[in-house]
Amino acid sequence: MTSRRLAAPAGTWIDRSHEVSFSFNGRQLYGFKGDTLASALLANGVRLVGRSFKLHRPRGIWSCGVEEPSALVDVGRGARRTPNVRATLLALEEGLVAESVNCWPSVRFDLGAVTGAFAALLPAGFYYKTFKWPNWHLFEPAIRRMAGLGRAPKQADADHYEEMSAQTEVLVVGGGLAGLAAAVAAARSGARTMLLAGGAHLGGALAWRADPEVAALSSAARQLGVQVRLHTLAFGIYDHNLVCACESLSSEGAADLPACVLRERLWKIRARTVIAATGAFEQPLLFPDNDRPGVMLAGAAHEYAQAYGVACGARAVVAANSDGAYEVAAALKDAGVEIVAIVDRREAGAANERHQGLRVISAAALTAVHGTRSVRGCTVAQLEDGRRERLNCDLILNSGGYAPAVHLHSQAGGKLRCLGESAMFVPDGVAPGLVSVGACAGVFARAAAVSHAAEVGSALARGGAPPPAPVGGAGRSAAITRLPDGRTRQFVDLQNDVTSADVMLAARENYRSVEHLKRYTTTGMGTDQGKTSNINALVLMGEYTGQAPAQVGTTRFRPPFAPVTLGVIAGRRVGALYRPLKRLPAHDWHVAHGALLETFGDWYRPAAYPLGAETLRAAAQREAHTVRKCAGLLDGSPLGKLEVFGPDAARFLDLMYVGTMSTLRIGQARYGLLLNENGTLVDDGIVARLSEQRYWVNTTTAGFDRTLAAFEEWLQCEFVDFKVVVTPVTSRWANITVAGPRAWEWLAKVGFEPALAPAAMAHMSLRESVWDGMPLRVLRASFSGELGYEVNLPAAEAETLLTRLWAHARELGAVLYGIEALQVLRVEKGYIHIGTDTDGTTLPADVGFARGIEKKAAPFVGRRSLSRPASRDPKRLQLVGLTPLDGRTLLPVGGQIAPKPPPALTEGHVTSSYLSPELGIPIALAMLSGGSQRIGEQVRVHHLGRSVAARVAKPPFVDPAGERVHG
Amino acid sequence: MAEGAAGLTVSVEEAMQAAALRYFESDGAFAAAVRELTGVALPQVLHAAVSGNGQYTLAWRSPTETLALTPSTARMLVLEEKLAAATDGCLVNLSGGLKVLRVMGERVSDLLCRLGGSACVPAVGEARRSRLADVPVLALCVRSTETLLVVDRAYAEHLMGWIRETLLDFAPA
Repeated sequence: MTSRRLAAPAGTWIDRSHEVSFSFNGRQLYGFKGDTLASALLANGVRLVGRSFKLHRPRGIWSCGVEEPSALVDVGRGARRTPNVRATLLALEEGLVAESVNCWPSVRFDLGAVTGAFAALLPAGFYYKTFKWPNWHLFEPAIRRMAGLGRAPKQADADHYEEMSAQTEVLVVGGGLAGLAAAVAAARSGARTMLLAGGAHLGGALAWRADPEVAALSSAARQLGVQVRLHTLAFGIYDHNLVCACESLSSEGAADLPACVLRERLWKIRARTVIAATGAFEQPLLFPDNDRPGVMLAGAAHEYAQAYGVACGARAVVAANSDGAYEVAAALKDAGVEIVAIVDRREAGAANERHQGLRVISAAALTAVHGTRSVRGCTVAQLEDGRRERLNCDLILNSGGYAPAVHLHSQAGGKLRCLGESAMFVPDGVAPGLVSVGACAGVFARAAAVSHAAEVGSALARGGAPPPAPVGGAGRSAAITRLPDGRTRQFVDLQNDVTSADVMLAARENYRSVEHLKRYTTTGMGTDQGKTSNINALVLMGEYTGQAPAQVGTTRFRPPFAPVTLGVIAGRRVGALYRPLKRLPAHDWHVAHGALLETFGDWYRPAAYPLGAETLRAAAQREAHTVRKCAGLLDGSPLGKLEVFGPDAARFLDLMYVGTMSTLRIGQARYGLLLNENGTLVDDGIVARLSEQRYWVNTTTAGFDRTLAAFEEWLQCEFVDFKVVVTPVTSRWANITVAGPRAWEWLAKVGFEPALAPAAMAHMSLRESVWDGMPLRVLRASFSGELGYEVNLPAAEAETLLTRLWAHARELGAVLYGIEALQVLRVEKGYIHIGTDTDGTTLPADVGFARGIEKKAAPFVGRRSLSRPASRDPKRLQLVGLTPLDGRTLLPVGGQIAPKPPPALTEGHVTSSYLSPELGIPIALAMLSGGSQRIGEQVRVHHLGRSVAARVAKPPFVDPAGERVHG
Repeated sequence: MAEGAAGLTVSVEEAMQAAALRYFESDGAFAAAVRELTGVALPQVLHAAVSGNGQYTLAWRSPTETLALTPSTARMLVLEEKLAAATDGCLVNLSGGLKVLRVMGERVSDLLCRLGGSACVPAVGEARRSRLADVPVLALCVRSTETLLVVDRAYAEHLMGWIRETLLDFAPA
């Protein structure tokens, strides 16, 4: 007989009247409502649950909670398959389907277990030492296939997730007795209080005991308005007291779920102060074959018996080095489990009258575990004389003391200290913004934990200093010690198959720092993050290197405390909601007219309008060519637009832009370069004067946000006495750009007033007009080099204008053109695109605006930086044109200009490159050292092993006199 | 366009006119002119105010800005004309540039929590800008069962998409 269901009344959490069927490795099994998968498996006598990560050793259920290293299963089918779920946390649901991980063809007969035969050849660091030649990447795919645990589903997730933010004054993490006491005290003192509990019940370690104090505190918390969230596991604390927690909203693996459910919710909670009440983890002992199914933590066996009514075995041996083992043994005996013996490594145990009848073997240790897929017995030896005795048992319980769950404390930046008598690390004082209470603070005595937690809750609620923690009460516990390393393995980290021999090897090879130990052996990694192995690993390292545990120290705990799904981190940000994209006001119109939409910065907009099977590049060539010869229509609505108003608006814009804006007459427009205080180009645009106090500012699409931010920063931080307000109006106004020699003819056909004709309205001017009853702001400007009209009109009317214009397109031979064609046109003209041709080092003079600066006498942002010697260096990268010598090869964007292939000092790089439909040859813009003095020179462009000869040219390539913009 | 779920409807106020009132002093001549024209004073910090006839809603946006909403195009034109000559403030017409969503029902705050968080839920009479569905939104609580969400037009579809997804988790209407 092995594990089995105990008779009622054992099992406070299960409902024996509600049977639940589930499948494990294809076997139909039954449990009760309230069971976890682990308790149900144990109740069905299933102890072999999975295979280990590296050596494929048989593994069973080790714990009863979040610390579980072994009992990992894949749950669900198809898109709902979830890998590596801890069976100890998985609530049993009708129809649940679970499978063992890392085994083939079955968990009982696993071919991968052959690796165990070569285990001696696979020590820590084996991979690093062996797979070096010719390189690691050659071997990596095969090794990755062999290693690993569960299998992720190939389909997209069937369910969805969400994120919520909350603010609170006091956040208590942990719903045990100490957490409840702290929350109630904080709420009673008037603080807005929130409490998170990872499980389904309040009470923590006491949850299944129907504890009256837990009940009273839970009731008080409700009455005082404490916001309690169950099933919500806090997994990390980040800067400024931001706690992230994952709330489970639907049952994992249930068969009768609807097509799509809200599965998990990510909580982002900003708390004035955080109280950690996260308890402690029982620690295991080291002995040979301590990983066999049937070896588990003593406290877990106790909880399975009491909460789930499951005996994890019929005959138990308790391996102990701490006082807590005796209480567990007595309780299990009461529950009907035979206790064969308590094997205490210490000379003097902790037996008292309650433990009468329990056999205690002191100063002894387990030296062998018998059985492979399940424990069949063990051998115990006296430490002093080596006298051996074989004990028949099917369950071996570990009780090696406790490790406070100091994860949040450590994540928050708190220090730890070693408590020698209990061989544990406890918080050393408080962490910034976080105070630990209860077992996670090292306070194990119940009364002391409750009163301390209440004092902390009360003090923090009032903004006072928390009292120091009365650490103690865990009982005596000896530091873990290994037995002499023999042929059998003593597992330190079950999940990563790290043995005491691996730790010794790390010490011998001088990976002695605890951080190096972790990386070299992989101990403490994986889904359990070493909750039952870290302490043993570092104590062992101390033993091998002659240091006390305190000297070895611990690794820094990092989030997440427990595995978090990628789904909950993404939340709703999947598919169309992956990130906010801005849509054009006439989005649907463009789609209906064949637009190929692409993402440009934050905008989703037409790249081109391909005809039939035309490629993007071919479409752009056709569109650009048509604009030069006839006319084209571009939706330029994303162009940034600001209104700048105030008596100091002119003065302000003079300071912000290189161009002088105060001298603009009403209706006149001027090009401007925006610099930062380093003189670097930040954006460019066109400023037009609408009235004496009011300006219209066009920014680039991508530069809108930074221009607005720069304006606000200078107004709020430097020019604080200026009376100026800046209002973004990008979305208010659509921008329909009509460009090409027949642009005006086109506009005239739809009834634009004659005052807007090129003869009546100069290039770089703005007119406010009315068309078809709607207000227009028409700007004559051009980014194509052709006659250009930027027609700004209320966004909702964009479709009307587009439709009316498009009705005349065929008779004119005009086209719609997208961003790709616009790029071709502007490169032909040598117009820079900020962020493409420029970078964070580009100054105005580098792109041909030296004269503009010399002409302006007034100060402007960045001016002084332009006079630095480095700014005047003639060797600076300067904007030039390039054409390939062969007249055919498109120069690669990003290609480096250098006399020799790399590695060589680069002289510059290609920034923009297109085939010119006007010239019929490839053209490019580049930033070249001393470029303005190198026109006509031959250079070489290198890119990914290719090299192209090119000649330096002076842009623009088309219409150098700039006559076409006038129509 | 309207979306619904048990205890909740979300509709787009297509005809709503919007304007930014920008000023240097919240108690200057411009503010007085606004009060005279709309019948309501500029709202206090983080608050909204509705004119007696219900035709104007003013919402605080920053120390130098109040958002004006009205369902009447004619009233917006009048407001724009009358304030055009002001020198200590200006009206910037944003109609069409902002979308106004009206969320009504018992579960308004539940929806707002799911779009952002509990701190994004305005109290009655409050107008607060926060990040909902990853985009900036001004939430203006008219009454406990009615809130206006004011969002940049270009992001309106994104916000509506997020709302549609969220409503899947609410029981159908």
